[in-house]
Amino acid sequence: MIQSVYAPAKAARPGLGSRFVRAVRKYKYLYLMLILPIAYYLIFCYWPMYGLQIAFKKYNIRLGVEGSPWIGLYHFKDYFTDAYFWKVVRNTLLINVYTLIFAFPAPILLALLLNELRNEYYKKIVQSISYVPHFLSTVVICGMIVNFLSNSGPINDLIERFGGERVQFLMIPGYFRTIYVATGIWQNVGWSSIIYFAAIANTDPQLYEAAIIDGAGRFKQAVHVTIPSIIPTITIMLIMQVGSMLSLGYEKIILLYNGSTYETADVISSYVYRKGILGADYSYSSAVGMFSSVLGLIFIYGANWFSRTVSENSLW
Amino acid sequence: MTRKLVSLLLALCMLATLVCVGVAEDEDLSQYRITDEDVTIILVRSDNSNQPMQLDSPTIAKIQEITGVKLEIQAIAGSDFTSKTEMIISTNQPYDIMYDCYYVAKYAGQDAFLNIDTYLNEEDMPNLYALFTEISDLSKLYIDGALYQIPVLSREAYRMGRSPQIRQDLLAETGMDAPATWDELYEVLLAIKEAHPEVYPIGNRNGTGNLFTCYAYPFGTGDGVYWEPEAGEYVYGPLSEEYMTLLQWLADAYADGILDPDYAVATSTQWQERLASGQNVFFYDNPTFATNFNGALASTTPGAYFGPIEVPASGDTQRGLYYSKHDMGATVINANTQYPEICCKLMDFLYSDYGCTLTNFGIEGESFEYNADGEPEILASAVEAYMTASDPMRAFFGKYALAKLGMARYIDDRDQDKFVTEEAANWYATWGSWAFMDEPVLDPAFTTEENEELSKLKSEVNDVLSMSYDDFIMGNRPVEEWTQVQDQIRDSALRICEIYNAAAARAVR
Amino acid sequence: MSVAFVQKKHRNRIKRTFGSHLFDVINVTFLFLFLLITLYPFWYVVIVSLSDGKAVLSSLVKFWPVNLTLDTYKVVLRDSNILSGFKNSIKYTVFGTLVNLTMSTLCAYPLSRPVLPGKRAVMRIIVFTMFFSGGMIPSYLVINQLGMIDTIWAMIIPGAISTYNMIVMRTFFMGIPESLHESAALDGANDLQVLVRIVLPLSKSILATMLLFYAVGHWNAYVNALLYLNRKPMFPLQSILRNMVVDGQFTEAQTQVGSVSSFTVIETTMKYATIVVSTLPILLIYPFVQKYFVKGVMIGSIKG
Repeated sequence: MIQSVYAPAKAARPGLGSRFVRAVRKYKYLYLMLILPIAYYLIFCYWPMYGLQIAFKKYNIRLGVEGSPWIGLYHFKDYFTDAYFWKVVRNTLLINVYTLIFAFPAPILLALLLNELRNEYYKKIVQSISYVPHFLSTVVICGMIVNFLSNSGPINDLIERFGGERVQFLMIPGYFRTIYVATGIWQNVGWSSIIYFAAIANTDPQLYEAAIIDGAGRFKQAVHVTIPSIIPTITIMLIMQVGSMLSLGYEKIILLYNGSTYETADVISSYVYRKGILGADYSYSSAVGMFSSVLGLIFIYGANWFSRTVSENSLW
Repeated sequence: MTRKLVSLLLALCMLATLVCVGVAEDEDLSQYRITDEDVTIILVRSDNSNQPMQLDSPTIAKIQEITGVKLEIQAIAGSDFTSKTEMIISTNQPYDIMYDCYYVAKYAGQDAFLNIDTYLNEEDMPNLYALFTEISDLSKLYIDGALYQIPVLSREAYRMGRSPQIRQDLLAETGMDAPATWDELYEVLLAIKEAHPEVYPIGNRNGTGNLFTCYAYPFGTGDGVYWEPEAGEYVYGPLSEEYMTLLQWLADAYADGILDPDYAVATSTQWQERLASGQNVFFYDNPTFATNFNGALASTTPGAYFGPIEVPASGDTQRGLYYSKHDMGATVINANTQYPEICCKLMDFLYSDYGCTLTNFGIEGESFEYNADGEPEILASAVEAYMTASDPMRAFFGKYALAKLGMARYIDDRDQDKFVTEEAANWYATWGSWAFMDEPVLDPAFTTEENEELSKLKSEVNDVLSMSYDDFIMGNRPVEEWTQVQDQIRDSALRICEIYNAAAARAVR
Repeated sequence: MSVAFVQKKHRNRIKRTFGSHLFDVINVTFLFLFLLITLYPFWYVVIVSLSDGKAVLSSLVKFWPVNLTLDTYKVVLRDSNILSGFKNSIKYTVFGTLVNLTMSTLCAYPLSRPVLPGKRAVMRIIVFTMFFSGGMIPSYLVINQLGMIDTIWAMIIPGAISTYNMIVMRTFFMGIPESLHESAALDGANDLQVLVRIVLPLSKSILATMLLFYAVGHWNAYVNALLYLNRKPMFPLQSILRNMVVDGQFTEAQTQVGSVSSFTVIETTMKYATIVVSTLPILLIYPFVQKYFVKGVMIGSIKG
């Protein structure tokens, strides 16, 4: 209120310099705290960034980043005109959309369900076990997935017992995204839910107390107290998830796909990896990376703008 | 002939050393002296967990004693060797010699490595010079007229290659003879399938592509671009008539339940488990795997065992491919090294008779002795000392930094029988005796431009092929339609062959 | 008396409906099934690593170890560098995590203050680095120029802040009521004092989470060791063990020669034993972190 009254006075602003000096004086401790982190970002993130230029160069190992000859947009043209370009971009996007729809809410749900458990020991045991699969390497996890879904695997045994036909899950393009996302949930849901446990733990217990006094049941408490208290965390996680729409690691993909499922399974990174085996090209792969990064940045700007418009949560 | 002579001479020298202590040895070995200065050579190599590099091994000390060159060995984990060494090269970190550099072609045009040809003459590198003269295929290692790599060569090697292994007990049960053709093999596998419906006889690992890597050559064609001895040139396998025969054979096998339905997705581990537990009973791949399967089968299914059969003939021709006798994987020398000559001479030393024996058998009198024929023999006491290890041979090699995972670049496999089972030794004898096996032909060297074009063409054609294979094998498309796939890839495939043949013609000179 | 306790009493007093009971039954059952499917893979890894290689090859190992043997562990632990690797990993994890927590707090707290001029620009600059990086070689050259190669600093400083974690932390700090800041300011506390006396005590759950995330990151890290360390005595555990799990295929022809040994140890058992050795220590820290996920911490500490 008070601020709004004084707002018109701000129209006659003092010069930028003196405003800066005043802000620094007022918030000197906050700025002091930021010195080390900003130095960190400048030295370890921005200083090496001159390396980005190799996307526009023909990289020569002996001439180094700066000495290599410029080649303009050659690598980008090469990439955009590739026959499989649209297919792999589409597949990357689709798998990420599936992830956003199904894998993103899963840890939130798990945290909420665990929150409702009355037995503290049981709760702790489930929590501690649920994050264990996160620690198994992708190779081991994928080995198990193939075992379970193979023609002679337990899932097909089950299907046959109930009178169905055995299904070649890993060779049908239609199943790939489901398998990829579902196993991803299974592996990471426990680990990702830790952040939400922490958020729920930070909820002000007075709010529950008030809700109980108002006669709210468990379901209402969850909807009116627990969920609103973790909404800022959810929003920020969502914004960051949207920012990674075009990034997807190749490791799990190449362990699960095969020629018959390229149609849905081949993503940007796996395609570059497959081409790379025959003749790794440092410049080309950084051009590909740059394309995904630029789009990712646009996505995260968009998501942040949207979130700022409809709520008070945003990255900046 | 000369080898025997040298061995004899060495034996005589040994005798001489016994008579006139010390002095004679120094004189005889002085020819291997490379430098009297204090020189340290940094040698980068990959480290394999099966035989970790022992930096304090007596063999490395001996190399220093004889040549005067001090070796500082940087063993880099094999799992990350490529990324670490590319980093070393591109940031100009100091090193002199690098073993196991399998990506020479990539940097050939960028002057990262020393042109060894400068020193490859009778004076500086007599042993390698002789080997390059003797083995004509090595001329293919020259890239644009320069030699950047020294291959791993073989003095004496066990010979074997991908070949069939079948459950001999089940073959006997059918009462049929050992199959001599692919059609006969099919009949045998069909009979086994009928007797044991739950069994899928043929197992495969690591994806559909591996079926063609293994089966194409014996079917009279080849996997992708390959050297066709009958035509005397490089041709493209999938374009051939025989390739369709193979596809039909596989499609029938799939339809009849002979080929494991998981042929396209089974990993190497699953493939091994299935063969070891009787779910699969035949494979055409690296045949030495069968020793492990037999060990496991012996404890669960008495009487069950794998044994090799000859490669089945396709039509009139019976043929298979040995694994390459020489490994063309390379040792390179840093273009910036301070001691190019010493590096070259040190490498040459490893290919001398003395150096070869030292790096394959260890220290004379401690780990091996020469027998009456002048051949090195691993001492029984040395074998005894490592028999309790989980892998006795690797433990012995590791201690003395021997063989390919150790210091040796000129490999001598003799006398390893002591470390393998009798069964395996017999198999090696069988495989070594097969006259129908062909020697693999080394790919010619390409220029940088050719390499770039090839990598594009190959990834394009390979994608089309791998997206098509399963449809044909699983019967979704009739094999006659393979001609459509051939039409789709023909231009690119022929261009690949053209580049190969042009490069090969250059190499012949 | 903690409010969590008060709340529990309240809950017990309320008559529980049939729906509430039904939900409990379903919830407990569902989470039990979930427990089983997340536990089994790790259990399988453990029992395979303890079984005889022949039994594993014959697919006999399903729920319990077959022909129990510790041979595999003997092979995995035979490397003389395991012990030094273990010590190094602990050192890098402890110091690295301390640096991480300090740096992330120093970064997240000021940026969480809505009043701070310029925070949006700083956030943009930071978020940009989540998408663009100079790549391996320029990073190496920078680290080299700073003289950090082959020192512990190379394992700690280049990853001092994970932007992702820092942003999560900032979100938590933003959730602390503005009124607390104001009343502290009225008491004459400066921003540093507010951070130490008010914000951090209220953020135990997120600090515990960050500790877990960063510690696990350090424990599992091998890339920085690969790039920035050359001397084996400095390698962390992961660098030493990784080689056993991810071995190049090019040695296959040589390693399968049909050795005389009884091969109780095979590739799979080796791989799995390596996983157990490398993950068990870090799994053990979770229970310690968990106690900060209890409700009521926030108010309790304000009143205390």
